Amino acid sequence: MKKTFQALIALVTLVFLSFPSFAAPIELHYWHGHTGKLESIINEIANRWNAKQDESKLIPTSKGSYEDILAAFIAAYRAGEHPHMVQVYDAGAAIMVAQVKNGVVYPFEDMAAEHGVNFNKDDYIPGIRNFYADSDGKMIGIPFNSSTCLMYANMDILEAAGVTEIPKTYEEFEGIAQQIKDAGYIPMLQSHSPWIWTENFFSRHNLLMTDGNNGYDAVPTTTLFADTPEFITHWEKVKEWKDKGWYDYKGRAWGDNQAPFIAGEAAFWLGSAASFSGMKGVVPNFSVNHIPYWSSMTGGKAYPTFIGGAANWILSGKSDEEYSALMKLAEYMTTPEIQLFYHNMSGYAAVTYSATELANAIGFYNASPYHQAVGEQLSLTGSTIPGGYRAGNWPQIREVIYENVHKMLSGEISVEQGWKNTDAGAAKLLAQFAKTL
Amino acid sequence: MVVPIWIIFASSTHDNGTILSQGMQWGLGDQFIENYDRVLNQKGGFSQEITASSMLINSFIMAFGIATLTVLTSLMSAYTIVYFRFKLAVPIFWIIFLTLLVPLELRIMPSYQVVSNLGLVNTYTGLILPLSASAIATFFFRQFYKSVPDELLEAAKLDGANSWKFFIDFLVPLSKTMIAAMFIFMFVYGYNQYLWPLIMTTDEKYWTVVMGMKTIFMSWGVERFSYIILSMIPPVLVVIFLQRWFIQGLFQTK
Amino acid sequence: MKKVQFSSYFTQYFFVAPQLAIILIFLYLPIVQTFTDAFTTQDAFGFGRYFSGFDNFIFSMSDATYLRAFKFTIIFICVITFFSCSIGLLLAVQANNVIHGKSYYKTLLIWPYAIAPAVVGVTANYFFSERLGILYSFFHNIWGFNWYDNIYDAYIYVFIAATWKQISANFIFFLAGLQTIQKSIIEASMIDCKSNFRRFWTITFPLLMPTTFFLIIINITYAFFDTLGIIDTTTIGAPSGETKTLVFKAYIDGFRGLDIGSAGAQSIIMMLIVLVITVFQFRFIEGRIHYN
Repeated sequence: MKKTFQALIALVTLVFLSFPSFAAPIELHYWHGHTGKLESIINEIANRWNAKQDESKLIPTSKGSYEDILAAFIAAYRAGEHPHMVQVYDAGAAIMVAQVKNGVVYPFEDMAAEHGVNFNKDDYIPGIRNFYADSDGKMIGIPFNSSTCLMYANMDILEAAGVTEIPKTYEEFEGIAQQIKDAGYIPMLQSHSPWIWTENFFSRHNLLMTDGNNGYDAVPTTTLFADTPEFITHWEKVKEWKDKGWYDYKGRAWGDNQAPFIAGEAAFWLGSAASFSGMKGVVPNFSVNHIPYWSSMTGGKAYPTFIGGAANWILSGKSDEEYSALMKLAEYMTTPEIQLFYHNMSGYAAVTYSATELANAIGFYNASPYHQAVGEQLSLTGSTIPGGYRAGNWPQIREVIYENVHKMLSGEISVEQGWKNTDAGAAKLLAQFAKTL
Repeated sequence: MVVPIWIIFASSTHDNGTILSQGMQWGLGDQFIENYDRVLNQKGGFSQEITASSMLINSFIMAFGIATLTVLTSLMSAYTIVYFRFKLAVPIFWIIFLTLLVPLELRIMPSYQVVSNLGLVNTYTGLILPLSASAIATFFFRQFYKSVPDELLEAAKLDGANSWKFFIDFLVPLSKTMIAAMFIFMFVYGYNQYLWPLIMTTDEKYWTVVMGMKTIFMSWGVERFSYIILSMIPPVLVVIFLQRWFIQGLFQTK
Repeated sequence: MKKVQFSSYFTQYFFVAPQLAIILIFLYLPIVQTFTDAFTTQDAFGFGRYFSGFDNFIFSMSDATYLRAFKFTIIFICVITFFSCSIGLLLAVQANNVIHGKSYYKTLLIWPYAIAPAVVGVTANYFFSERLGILYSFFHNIWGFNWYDNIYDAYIYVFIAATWKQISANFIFFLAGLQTIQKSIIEASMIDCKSNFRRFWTITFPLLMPTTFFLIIINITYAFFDTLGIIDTTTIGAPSGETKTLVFKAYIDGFRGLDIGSAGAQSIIMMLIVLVITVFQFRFIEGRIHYN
């Protein structure tokens, strides 16, 4: 009897030992600010990751919008309820990078090294990499959805108006604007005065936007809007275009300025690479192009623009085990295949060279020429300014820009006065931010 | 009042193209079933388990909880303040009243911290409780009680009623209309909450209708209108249910 | 104060305890935090926190946009309160008369008022959008209405949206108040006074005063504080910040701009303003209300 019993124990023990341990997968929480189609793409990536391995489970949650997510995440952090990874947008980069020293954010580069993750820094397209890096070039945020501003063109309208070539420069645009207007269409619209025609005016023309080398060398104290003659000239031109009916201003909301283009009433619309996913299938015949520049201001050279969109940031306060799983996930998300998938579905740029190579290798851009513009524009070389800007309270500064743009375009104040006001408002906000460092 | 709602409803029965090109509609279209079917069954969110129906239920629970708790607590508080003679009555009223002056949006981060310290994140309790102490309701019932004739209390006391009996048997039945009005008001207030659930919940199964409106259905599609119409159903149900209490009309005695 | 009252020690505290508990824990603790924050400078996360006295107050009030928001808020409160109260009252009186009559009108009358607030926030935007909006094209055809550009049009847009929402609340409460006026009083007054109009002003309205007082205070508070949701979904301060109210500005500074100190300072200032208005009303107006 005893022997049988012992044998039974041995057998049961053996059976138990041979089962793999069914530990529950580590839950990785990720908050992002996307909705609609873009949200479903993130969900798809999460599903693929979860299906592929058992160790961790990615749970993405949408927090509504870029602004909401920043506030939500800060509230959560203060209460100790924050996720592992959070998506924060370009205007919030300064805040996040400043939080490294406070131990809120863990730099991507350090974490990758610590957890032995395959990581080739030079594979990242420089413009993208540097935007979310600190002043020493160390990558803090993981570039994820990188867009830039691009020009969408309605090919049917251009044909009807007799325009054969897409303008590369604003000078060329001026040459054909009247023709488009005469054909009964709106020549140009744009959806974000701060991002497209302020921040990315400076980038596209290789000009510094704030002192302190755009904030990379020293904390900025002032913006250089009114002090940059090219910028003033641009906006004076914009006002002129508005008066001539070459440019229509539909208020500050993104959607309101995009709507006429979607409804087929406008020839050109300046938007984001990410607008692609919403436009496909809605506007019949459109093309995606580089955003124009003033050839006279750059001596004919085209400079790269800043990236927009957002990056993913690793937050502190979790266990080693969780970070290990998280870094594997990060690695997965930056593989060329996943990047290409995201690039294709969303219109956001592929962030590494290997992803672009993969795309070329499979003839991706032949099948879908829409996607080429974003990568090309971001990979332009030769700029002497930093790849981004590091200025605090930037969302507030954008508000000041919105207010003054409206006054300028309605003729209430002169363009120069408007930008002087903006500089003054921005300087106050920058000083306020500096006090908290 | 009904006209705007009709326009929304009518618009919800058309297809996308019409809306985009012509704007909102006065007349009915032919897409009623398709649109509503899509909205009701479209699964959103990561877990693919959230549908419009589950969000409607969440919103309903939250709004109902807030309305009920608010009405109860403020009915009681107002009673104390008006009908009891004690020194702290006035200061207590002002303590309650002052909370009207600092709205939720301006104190949302500290509120979140308090709730989190109590471990109430991602719970119905956390969604409902902080929003259930309404100075508006207390103030409202105070006004009402002050206008109730003293004779009522005298008569009740003659009958030998103590403070509890007076409250339950005399005052509350008299307040039915007011209770109904306040319940409807607080229900809609709770139903409309966007910011608090957004910040406070991280689990998708607590999503409310208003949150869903902004995330899932924030597109150019005509589904928006169907979704809005559907989201009106819980408040309508509440009103229909309460209307008996609300309309005293011919049945008022005394 | 009531002439006849109870004085039971246990009961009175028991009845007021639930609400007080909730308020002290969930409202006062955060409020204290917000007020403390008003006197500090800190980054969005709470780091680098130091006491900075009245710096935030000076910073907020010295902004030109603050004065503008202040002026707009005053106008806003007056317009909204006046229109939503009077229209709400008018509609409630009409509804009241109807209810005394046919019964099947009852449901039809009330439910739009219950729904409207829930819906206004989202749909005002649609009604006034250039592309989709019926109201936009209606006004546009009359005088070239364009709230994206024109300040006054933007004012009108915001006024209509905020008033529309509040009319509903006023309607429900006025109607409730009217319904509780005893039928016997109405019948007696009908004998004394044939004119509807006079009867309303001499008998009904004074009986409604408690409700009216309540509603005026609530409306002011609403217009001052709770309309930030409306502004956020309609103009967002457009065309260029003119339609920002004080509370909206504080919200933007705190929530979007993440300047907690400044938002806290602005909250304190706003609270003081409304406190003064309200105390004034309680002192001078309530004394004149005949409660029964």
